[in-house]
Amino acid sequence: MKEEELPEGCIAEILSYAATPADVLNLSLVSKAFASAAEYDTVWDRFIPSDLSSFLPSSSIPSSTSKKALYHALSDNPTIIDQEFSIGEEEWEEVFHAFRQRSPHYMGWHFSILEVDKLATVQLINLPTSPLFSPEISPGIVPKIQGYLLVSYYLFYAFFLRQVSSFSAVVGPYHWAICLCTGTSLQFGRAIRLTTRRAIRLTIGRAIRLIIGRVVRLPLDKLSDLPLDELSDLSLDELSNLSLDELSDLSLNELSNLSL
Amino acid sequence: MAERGESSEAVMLKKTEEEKLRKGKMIVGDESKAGYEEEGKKVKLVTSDGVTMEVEISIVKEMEIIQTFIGATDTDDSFIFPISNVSSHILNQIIELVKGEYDQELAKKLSHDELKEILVAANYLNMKTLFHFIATAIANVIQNKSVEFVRDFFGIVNDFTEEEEAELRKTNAWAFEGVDED
Repeated sequence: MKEEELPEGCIAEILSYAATPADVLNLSLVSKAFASAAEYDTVWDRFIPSDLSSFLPSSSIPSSTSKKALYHALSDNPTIIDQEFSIGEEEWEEVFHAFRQRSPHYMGWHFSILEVDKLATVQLINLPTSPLFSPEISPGIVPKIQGYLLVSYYLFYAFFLRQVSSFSAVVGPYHWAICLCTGTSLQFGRAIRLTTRRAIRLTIGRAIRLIIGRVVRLPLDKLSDLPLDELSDLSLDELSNLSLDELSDLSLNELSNLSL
Repeated sequence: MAERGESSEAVMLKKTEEEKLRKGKMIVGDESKAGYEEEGKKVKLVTSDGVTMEVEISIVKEMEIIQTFIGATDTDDSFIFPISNVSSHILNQIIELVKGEYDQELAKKLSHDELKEILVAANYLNMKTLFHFIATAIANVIQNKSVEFVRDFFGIVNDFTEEEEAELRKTNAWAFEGVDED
């Protein structure tokens, strides 16, 4: 089949099932027709929560732009959600189910679904007596998150839940979180950045790391269980001694220069 | 390929007979009459390779391009609609997919060429469910694949100049930042 036999609308339809925006942009390199189709609103619509206006002030939502532009505007200008997330076990189940099914309907955000699968598996181990519902993260859970250091699951799952159903959207005590991710976690990072002010992404070596907004002070005994050595030369002291305010006030450049 | 088309046609003709019988029995009261008449109806479609296939109305109903036309005319058994962009092979595949209620397992059996041709046919015939279904199947195949793989898959030649490609990579740089070098 020759390229001209594949209408742009067909390409756009395929692109609209791409798992992440990064996938869409990668596919735009295939040909001019692909690049053109990658601009379609229908492609980007599903990366934007349909209930955006219910949790973002209208001033944060640019009007009359393409969906792609809207997506980028939101990603580049993260906004605090001044609400608390409350997540019940039923909702957890719903999320995990959605992830396992990989239903496009639930893939509105552009996190890497594979990584989320790993996390979801980790979480499921701990259900239903999930320590994740308690304010402290059980030390036992964290080492199971292979290669990932995620503190404050609340935040992430709150995002994920957004596409699942309407729920009381809120960031709780873990309003701010540190998240260090490895590998192709960029999409994951941008999903978080979308709604979190001062979300800062750091690149340390090959791995993409994320520091999201302010930092929840981490008890050292919990951090020491994490596979930090293989991630970086992160100094636990350095990290844990940063106060919440200090970190949130640092500019992106300053943070990049930190020898984390 | 032609054989497949004929055998499928034969099966369908046989089914028509059955349905006529059933129809004959069922048409008793006036209320149900319209419904059963509708159910047994076939539409003749002439494919790009000149094969005339009788397709059940339930399947044709998903083809909005034809449905529009049928709706505008008082159709009878002699109704023939040419679908010049769709081969009999692809039409048979489409019929199987629709009858199989869009099972992803069926899609896995399709070749890359078939997937593409069905997509184009679904677009042409305006079969929305099939269009979404097959686009999903293709998206699954090309997921996490290189640009080169996708070009190969669609038989597409890179029509960017080096400058254009570099520019596009630059514009979309963030998308490629997280990809491991190795």
